[in-house]
Amino acid sequence: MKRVESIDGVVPDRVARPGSETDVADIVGEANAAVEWILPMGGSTAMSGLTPVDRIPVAMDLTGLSGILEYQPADLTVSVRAGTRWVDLERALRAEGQTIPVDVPMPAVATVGGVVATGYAGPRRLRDGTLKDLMLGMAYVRGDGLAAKAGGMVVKNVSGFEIPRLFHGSWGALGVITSVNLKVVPAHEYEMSLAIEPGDTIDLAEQVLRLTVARSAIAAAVADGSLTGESAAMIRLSGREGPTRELARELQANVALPWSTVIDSPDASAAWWQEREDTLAAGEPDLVAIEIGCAPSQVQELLIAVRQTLDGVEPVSIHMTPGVGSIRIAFSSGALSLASWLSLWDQYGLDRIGRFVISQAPVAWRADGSVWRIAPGALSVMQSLKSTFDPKDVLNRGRLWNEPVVRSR
Amino acid sequence: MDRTQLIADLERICGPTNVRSVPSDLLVYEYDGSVDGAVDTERPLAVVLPDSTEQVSAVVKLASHNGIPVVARGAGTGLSGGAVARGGGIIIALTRMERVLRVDPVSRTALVEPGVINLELSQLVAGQGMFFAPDPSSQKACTIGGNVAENSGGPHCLKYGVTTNHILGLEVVLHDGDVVWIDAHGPGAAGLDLVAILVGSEGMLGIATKVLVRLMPSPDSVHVHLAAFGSMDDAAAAVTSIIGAGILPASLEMMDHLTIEAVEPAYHAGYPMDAAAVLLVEVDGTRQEVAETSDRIAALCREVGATSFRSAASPAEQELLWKGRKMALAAMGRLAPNYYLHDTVVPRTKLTETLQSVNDISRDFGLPIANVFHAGDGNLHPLMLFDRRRDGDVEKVLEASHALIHACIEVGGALSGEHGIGSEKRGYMELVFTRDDLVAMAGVKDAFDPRGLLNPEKVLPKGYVCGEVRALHNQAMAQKHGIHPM
Repeated sequence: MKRVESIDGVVPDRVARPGSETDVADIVGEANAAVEWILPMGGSTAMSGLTPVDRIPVAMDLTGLSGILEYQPADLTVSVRAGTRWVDLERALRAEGQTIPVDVPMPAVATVGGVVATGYAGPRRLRDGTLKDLMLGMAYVRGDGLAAKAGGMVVKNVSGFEIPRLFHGSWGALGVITSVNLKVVPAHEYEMSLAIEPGDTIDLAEQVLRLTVARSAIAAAVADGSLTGESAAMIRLSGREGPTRELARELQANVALPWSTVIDSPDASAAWWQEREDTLAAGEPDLVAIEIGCAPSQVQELLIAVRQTLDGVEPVSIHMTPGVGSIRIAFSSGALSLASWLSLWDQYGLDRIGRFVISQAPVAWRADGSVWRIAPGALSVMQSLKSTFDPKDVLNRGRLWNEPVVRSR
Repeated sequence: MDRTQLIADLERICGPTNVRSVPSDLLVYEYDGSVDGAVDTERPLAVVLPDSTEQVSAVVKLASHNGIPVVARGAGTGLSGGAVARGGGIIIALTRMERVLRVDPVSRTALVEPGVINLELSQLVAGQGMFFAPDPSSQKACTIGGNVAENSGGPHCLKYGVTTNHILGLEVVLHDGDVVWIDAHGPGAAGLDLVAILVGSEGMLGIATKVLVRLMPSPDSVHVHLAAFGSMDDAAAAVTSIIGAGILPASLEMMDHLTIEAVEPAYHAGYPMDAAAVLLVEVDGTRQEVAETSDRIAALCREVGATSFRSAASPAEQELLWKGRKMALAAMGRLAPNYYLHDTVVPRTKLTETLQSVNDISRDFGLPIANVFHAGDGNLHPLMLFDRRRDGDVEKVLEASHALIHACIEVGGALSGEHGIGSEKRGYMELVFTRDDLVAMAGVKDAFDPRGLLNPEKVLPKGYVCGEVRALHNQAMAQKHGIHPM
């Protein structure tokens, strides 16, 4: 069992290791009664973007809650416990020729519950969507200790409120996920990737965007490089072997782009994309990474605005999926503080076109302001939900967007 | 509040011509598309037809101030009683808010008002090579706002997913009349995905006044095939082998013999009258992909004993094949004056077993049942045919429905795949969910609408509304910790 050493440099007072859903409910229930708080954790691969805290009373390591509960390949559904490593789930699915087509950084460590709770989505969201769309059901324990389930094990279901999808990307604000039911899809028979020579970052973003708008069969398309200089693009194709190769030929023949190398092997292609994910997630201790999102049609405008906003901050690396309006910028923490970033964002009126989350940053950098930027109206609804699910703020206290509120009735 | 005063205030907000208050005008709003008898009807206090967010907000503020329930309504095509004003109250009909505010072909999104008709949006953007994927059979009449409320499905959801997969943002009027914009999670989004919980909430959490929808790129190529079978089992086996082969068609629909008997004479869609069942299979994608997949599907259907397999040769023929499916419900009048349409979902592997149960129920109750459904999703639509004028028929249908729902739940099914719970199936919720599951759901309602004024008496069973929830919750927690309730 992995030892939990520290989170953001803080060693938890106590580490709880539940082995069952009942254990989770007991631990959360006790904390609720004692008005103590808990930091739920899976593989700890995405821990460095939240508000840092001084003390962690209880860290709840959910990796003991692992294993597949039910898998019916012919139904295209799987039910899996939250602490299951992503790689183990994916291995079981692959054995039946199936998969969950989402990008997961460090899948050997990341857990299913963690992937759901962090709501991460990589380049493949372009064609295949996100894990949220594959969530069918869930078992969870609310912040007040109530153990419940929602949804079911069928691929279409409108029985009651969609609590499972609400938990996607909720960062443990509302409850601890103990198991999830997911829709799976047939694995692609073949995949390959096509590289495009480096060019001016903004021009390339626009070209990649046009390409993915024109060819919806493209699975993913990214452009990586530097904000002020050049970037290089990679295009991912997947499906049946014949049509995939045909699409590759057609692109190279008909689309006037500086095509360069081709990774014409499914394993090598998949490995390139996985390595990109792993590298981005691992980061470097001193690095600040911010994910900015906008409508895809505004990618160019946003890039120009971000360039202006960060004038003088050098170097800024960039990783983009233009087709989904995702731009990840990264710079050294000494180059710009959180407070400066926030004030520049406002000064340049970037709220008009975009929004952002801090993907990762050193602890001291994050302590310099609120890492959460949420419009007041939506925020008050979120707090209201928090008040119902976790009235005593037992989960992730101080690390998330805000504490619950006492509502007037 | 005095009703005359209320009407006057509503007229001041929405304009005198946009408020309905006399019984003859209210009559139509007592119903939705649900079967009479399974859903109680009720006359609203008044109906307003606002044409802006400001008006919706002002109506909700007025209602909230006076403790009057409000019910949002689209085209009223719903099949679970969701748009019927239980407990009286004001119906906010959003059909006048029907503007498409913005289409962004690069981002493939459209910002629309809730009253925009589903099919009309797809027609509007077709020229730009896009479509709105959710396609319920009522798509010629139903509204996007209604689709959002019900998380509607349709044949193409097999490949493209249900409505919630296609909603990126909402402007919502909350229970107190406040207006907020909420985003679905996407790049750079922080906080909770409120769109996820709003979609499918049946008007109980807020009223959507603007909807940012995702549009899908029109495929390069579309093939539509019709496979006929000598038995339902063979047709179900074909579904299993298509899905099992790793093929995900755009849609995979099944119709049984009784349905064909109703449909074919009405529309001459070209379904073989002697078939026990037909499968309507649509494949879309790139030209080569579609050609290859179509060949595989033809081979798989023949392998399990298809008696015929035919592909539409032209778009007109494709449309005709689809017409039979989309208009199937309308054709049922040829077989019986009334029908009760069900909407359960079972795991695909339980399809054959469940169809057998449906057969048994049909025989046991002496009730003809037609099956026309989304086979690829395991989403059954058994149609019980009856004549409400005949003594005992309605009671028989309700009893048979009870048996049917139980049979589906027993094999791990869900109460509804795309029609919603509404008032029709709220009594069945305890069959699937525990008290604690329902307490948690009621908590969501409580967080959004603490006084329970938005579409009351829907989804949550009796005993799970408002103040009762806190008592139930205290009781649950007390039992858990071995202490006495407060």
